[in-house]
This record gives sequence, structure tokens and C-alpha cells, in this order.
Amino acid sequence: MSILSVSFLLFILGLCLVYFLVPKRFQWWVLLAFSLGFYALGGLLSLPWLLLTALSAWATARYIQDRADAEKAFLAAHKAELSKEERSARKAKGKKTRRRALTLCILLNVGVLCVFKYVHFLLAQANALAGLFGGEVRDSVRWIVPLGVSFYTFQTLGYLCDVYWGKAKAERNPLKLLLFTSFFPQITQGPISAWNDLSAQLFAPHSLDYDSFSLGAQRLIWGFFKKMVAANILSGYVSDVFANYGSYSGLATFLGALCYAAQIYADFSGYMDIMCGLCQILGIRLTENFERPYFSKSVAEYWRRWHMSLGVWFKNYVYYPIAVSKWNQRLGKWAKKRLGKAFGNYLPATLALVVTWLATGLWHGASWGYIAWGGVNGLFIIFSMWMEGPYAKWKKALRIRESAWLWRAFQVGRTFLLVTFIKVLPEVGSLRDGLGLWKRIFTEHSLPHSLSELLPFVGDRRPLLAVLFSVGLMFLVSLLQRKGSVRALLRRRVPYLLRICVFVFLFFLILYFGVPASGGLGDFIYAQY
Amino acid sequence: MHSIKKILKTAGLFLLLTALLSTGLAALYFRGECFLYQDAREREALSGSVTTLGCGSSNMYFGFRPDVMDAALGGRSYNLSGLLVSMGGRLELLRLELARNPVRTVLLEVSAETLVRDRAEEGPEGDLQLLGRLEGKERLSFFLHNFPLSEYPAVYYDVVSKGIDNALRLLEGSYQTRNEFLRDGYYPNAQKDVYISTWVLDNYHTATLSTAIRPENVEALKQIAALCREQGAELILINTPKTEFYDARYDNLDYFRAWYTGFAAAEHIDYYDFNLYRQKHKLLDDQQHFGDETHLSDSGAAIFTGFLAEILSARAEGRNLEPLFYLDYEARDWGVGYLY
Repeated sequence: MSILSVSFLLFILGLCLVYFLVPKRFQWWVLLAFSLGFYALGGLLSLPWLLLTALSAWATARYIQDRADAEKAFLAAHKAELSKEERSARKAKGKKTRRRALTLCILLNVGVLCVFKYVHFLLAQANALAGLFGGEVRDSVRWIVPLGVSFYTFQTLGYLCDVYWGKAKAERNPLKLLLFTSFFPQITQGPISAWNDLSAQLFAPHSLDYDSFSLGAQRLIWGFFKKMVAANILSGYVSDVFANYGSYSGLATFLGALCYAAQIYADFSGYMDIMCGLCQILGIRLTENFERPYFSKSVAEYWRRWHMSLGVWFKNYVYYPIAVSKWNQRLGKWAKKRLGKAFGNYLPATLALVVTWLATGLWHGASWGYIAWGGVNGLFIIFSMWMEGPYAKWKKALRIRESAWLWRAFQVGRTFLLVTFIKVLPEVGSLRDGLGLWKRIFTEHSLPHSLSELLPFVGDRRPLLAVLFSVGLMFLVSLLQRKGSVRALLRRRVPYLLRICVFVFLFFLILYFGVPASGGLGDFIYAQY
Repeated sequence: MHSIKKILKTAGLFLLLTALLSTGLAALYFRGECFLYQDAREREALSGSVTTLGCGSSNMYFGFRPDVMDAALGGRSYNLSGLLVSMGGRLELLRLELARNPVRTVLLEVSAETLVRDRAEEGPEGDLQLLGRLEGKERLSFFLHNFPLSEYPAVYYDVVSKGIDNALRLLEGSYQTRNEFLRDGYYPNAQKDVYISTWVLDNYHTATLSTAIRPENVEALKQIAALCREQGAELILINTPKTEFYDARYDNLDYFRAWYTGFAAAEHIDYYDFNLYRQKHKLLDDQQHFGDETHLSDSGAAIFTGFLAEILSARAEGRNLEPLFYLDYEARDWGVGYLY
């Protein structure tokens, strides 16, 4: 079911009605029924894979929890009888068993994810390799990738790891875990929530509350505005520039890249606003995914503010385990002795970052473009980490004040340009195309003869107006968000009736500008992941 | 309970404001005749004077020039056609105009596509335009009878967005309540560089039209015939000229010719397929007289309406018209190596 459809509006209206009409203890059942319904409407064939993930995670987590509990109980009961060595041996044995179960479940789920997501990529590489020897590997795989497989697999793996590490208690009810896995507002594009955060929200009783309703509805409308007006209009221009960058001037191509930065933000954060708004109406607080990312002062900071839940997931379940692993720490110590203190200090983190960023690239898409994209992001972050010391010295020598607004503006502008350039790399087509677009920007210096040559949609007044207005409004809102929630600000400063008028106005803007731009009811960019 | 009251009040106010604004915008759309298919006020002004009506879809909309017809035959003609108008829509328009005009002749355009037109597949565009052409209770009745519930959002969007267009025109000072695009319902189509630059014979019978005739179209056609009889107007079925390229490309045009011939015989009316008019390819040139593969340009429309008037005149004199037309598409003389 498309999020940008009347059917979806009726779906959420039906959900809200049923959710608040049933007794509170049945509310999570309603969420489960609607989530499975939503998922089934997207394709029944995907459902078995979702069930497999949820059930395997439930069974494994239960097994891990039961073994851990039994071990704890045994050790407590036989505290006096067992020597320290015997207790350690027992603990190590138990941990090994639990780790084996965890590994098996991870392999199963990551295996499903890889098979669905990477089989075409792997076959293409095999074919290229076979081509060197005159052979051929045919790609005759024709299966449909289960909806949201990247998101729900990661979310469920996070739960499993938390249970294994003792950070979360394994859920006894498999249906509750199924709801955690399939909760429809986040299944297609995240956020990737932690069990402890989301379960507390999902299974708690919620009453219909005016503040939640009002703020949630406002955010929902704002999300539709961002997606339908800004993102969908820009997508036509961006797709055209990316597909034919060879025929555009360097300036127009650069502008296309900037428009893409605005488009992807409006698209992805618009979706989040729609879903967070809907959840807020239901009384559920969804993990936030954005915190004004384009106002970041470094690439590392940007990644702490863009798709935050994915960043947190990789940090908790990939980066830290690698960074603090025994072999990595040993490597660090070895490097300290042989290659110097600074090198040894940074080496474990660097290795962890390399793996994390290559994995992040692969998670986003099965192509060399995405792997390169992850690699370039990682390189910038690693480079900044290694250069922290020299930077500090330079800043001191140049008497740069960190708090000076000009310096901050420079940092924000520089980071925005950097992430924009990195962003476009996998989006143009192949890696060669991505690099070709970079080359075009820097080597093609002809000036467009007219404004319409620079901005193809400038000839039509309607989309140009819409783009200028929507991007301007998003920028203004981001600026205002520095001091807190804009909706809270509206509530404090704008009279009740005028506030309603503002959202009626937004509704008509969506209708007038957004509906034609969403002719094909434009798909969300992040739904492909 | 307090929360529920506040929610209901806020949601109610939001809906009320939206409804009020939507109503205003709808009024701006319907009252203005700013869209090229809107002609309600013009038709109303002509009420009581029209003697000949041309009615059909885009083929007739771009093909039938009332000024040429009136110059040749006298009387007062009007082109009642519209883009993507279904047979049901034509019936609705004819019902309205026949009731208020002394119409003697109705030239109903029928093509192969007319019979197979599927509203569910094609979408509501034609009916949405018709909604903008009707007024008052006719509009309401047409809306209630022709739009299923699932299309209400599309109707709402269409009406409101066009209302916003008109509101912007109002601000710019270009809002108008009289259609300035149409000439007695006829829209002059620009001549374009038609992409047909190939041998007709190379494309001869390389495509087939669907023959899935929809019963609702047939039923509406029967009702039009009955309506004309009842109102004392003579109904003539005509197929407007398409490019030679089009005629040659499809291999089953005779299927539709035979169907219409049979229908006309059963209803005791005449049917003329102007693609079988022997002089057609001498009078109309694919490159010069068409806007695209099937639609005449302004100059093409003048030529077509001219020989249509000649045929009507000869018919009124009781002359035998059969020699002027090929019997069927199979019998057509395509010429050898007809190069554009």
C-alpha cells in the first residue's frame, strides 16, 4: 500500500478508531493485526520471511535467556559447592552454547538478507570474473525482495544481541515479538528501534490525548508536505540531471547534486514525520532519525544526526564489538610498541570504522557505488579522527574561536558540500557514472545560456514556486528547530484558529503542488533499502 | 472526555475550513470558463438557435469547424465534442442541447476506439472535463451517476486544483467567464511535424485494434439514436479522417466499419466513414493537415468540414453517394510506394 494514497489515509483512520475503541489491553493486538495487514497488502509472498525472522529470533532469544537463567540459578544454588575455576568453566561453557545459538540465528537471518539483497550483485561479479576466462554466469534469479527486509532484520538482530548481552529480557510471547518485527510505521524505512525503547511503547496502554493528537496530526501533515511537494517535484529534475549529466553543464550538474541533497532529506525525513506523527497520535514515541543533519559541523557529526537509528545500530552492534574485541585490542597494543603510541591508539578504532562503513555501504545497496560511498564516508571520518591533534594546533595558531559564528558557518557549509558530493556517488547509476558526475562538475565550466537551461522546471511556474517555497520553509523550520520544537513554538505564539489555518493552507499546498508531482505516487527513496 | 471534545472541535474546525475553502475554489472553477473545454455559458447563450450539432471525442473536437459548415449549408452549427468524452457523456450533452435547440441534424462521430473505450481502464478524465462543462443540476446528476465512490478523491482534486488555478488567474487579472479558446465549440489544433515519415506500405497491417466492444457504449449509442428520433433530429454517424498512416497500420478497421454499418442499418440511419472517401488522400495530406496520427489540424479541419458539407448537401439532394466511398478498407487503393 502506498503511503501517498487515499487508501493509506483510510487505513490509518481505521487504525486510530479501532485502536482507541478497544479495551487498552488489546491495543497491541490491533497494532499487530494492522501491521500484518499492511505487510500482506504489500505482497503475501514476503510474509513467510518476516515470520521466519520473528520466530527464529523469538526462539533463539528464549533459548539464550532460559540457558542464562538456568545457569544463574544453578550457580546460585551451588555457590558453596563449586570452586572458582569450576564456576568459570561452567560460565564459559554456557556462554559458548549461547553464542553458538546466537551465531546460528544471525547466520540464518543475515543469510536470508544476503540471498535476497545481494544475489544479483554477486552473480554479476561472478559473471565478470567468468568473462575473463571466456565463461558466463547467468542471472536467472527472479525472486521478489521481501518488503523492509533490511530494516526488520537489523532490528531483530539488535534485539537478539541485547538479549545475549543481558541488556534486554527475552520476550515470552512470540506475537509480541512479531509486532516488534512487523510494526508497520517503521518496517519499510525504519527507524531501527531497540527492543527496550519500542516494546515499552508498543505494549503500554494509551489513551486518546488532545496534545498527542494535535501535535501528531501537525507532524503528519508536515511530513506529507515535505515528501509530496519538495521531494517529489525535485525528483523529476534530479533524475533527469543524473541520467543525462553528460549533456548538462558543470553548474547545472552541481545544482542537480544540491537539489538531490534537498530531495533525499525531504523524502526520508518526510516519511519519518508521517510515521512519527501517526505514532504520536497513537501515543507511541518512535525513535527519531533526524536532528537537523545539514547543520552538522563534520562528517562524523552528520552521521550522528542523519538516519540516527542506523548509525546507533552500527555503533552498538558492529563498531563497538569490533573496536573492543580482544584481537583488535591486542593488535593496538602490538602497534603501539612497534609503530608508535598514536598509531597504536587509533588502529583498533580505524579498523572498526573501516568494517562499519563498508558494511553501511553494503547495507544501503548491493553495488560498488554504495561500497565506495561507505568507503569515502569512512575515509573522511577516519581522516578527521587522525587529524584531531594537528587540527587543534592549527586552530590555536590561527586563533580560531570554535564558537565564532563565521567559523561555524564555514564548518556547516563545508560539511554540507562534502556530504552532498558523497551522497550522489551511488545515486547516478554505476560507480563509473558517479565518478563521471564528479568529473563533470569540476571540469565542465560552460555557463548556461538561460535560466531554463540551468533549471529545466523553471519554464513552468508552478513547480518552481513549489520548490522554492518548500525548500525555503524546510530551511526556516530547521533554523527554528535549533531552539526547540516548531510545533510547540506555534502553540505558544500562534492563536488556535490561525494555527488551524496554517495547516489548512499546508493541506491545499500539498493538494495543488504535491498531487501532480506524485502522479505515479512517487516511491520513497529509502523503501528500496 | 475533555480531550475527545477538543479533538472533535479541532478536527471539525479543520474540516469546516477545508470544506469552505474547497467550496469557494469549486465555485471559482465552475463559474469561470478558463479551461479550454468549458463552454456552458456559450452554449446557453446560443440556446434556441443551433440547427446542426457535431458531437464526438477529440477527433471531432479538432475536426469539425462550424464556421465552414454554416458557410456551406447555412443554419447554425455547434461543435459539442470534447476530449475523451465517452458515449455516455455524449448522450448527456445531446440530451441537454436537443431539449433547448431546434436541431435538425446530429453528426455523431464514431471511431473504432469509441466502442471499446473502457472507463475503468481509461480513468475519469473525460468525465471530469464533462463535469466542468455542465451546470447546475445536470452537473450534480452527471456526477452522481457517473462517478463511483473510489473516484471521489480524483474529482475533489480536479475541481479544487482548477479552482486554485482560477484563483491565481483572478489575482493576475486573467480570470474570465467566457471561453476564448473555442470557436462555437471547435478547438483549432496546431499543425505539427507529424512523425509519420515512412512508407505507408512498410507499416501496412502491422497493428491490431482491440475488438472488446463495451456493452455500455453500445447501450449509450442506442439511447442517442432513440433520443434523436424522439426530438425529431436526424442522426448521422461519421468516422472522421485519420492519417493514411493510421488507416494502413491497423488490420481490423473493417471489423468496426461492418459493426457500424450493421448498427446504422438496424436503426435506419446513415453511416459515413471518411477514411473510405475516395478523394481523402488527395485532399488531406498526412504531413500538412494533421496535428498527430489521428487528429486533424486547423487547415485539415477546414478541408474535412468542407467535403462533409458537400456530402450532406449531395445527400439532401438525394444523390447516390455510394460511388464516392470505397466499400471497405480491403478495397482501398493505397497506391504503390506512397511516400510522405
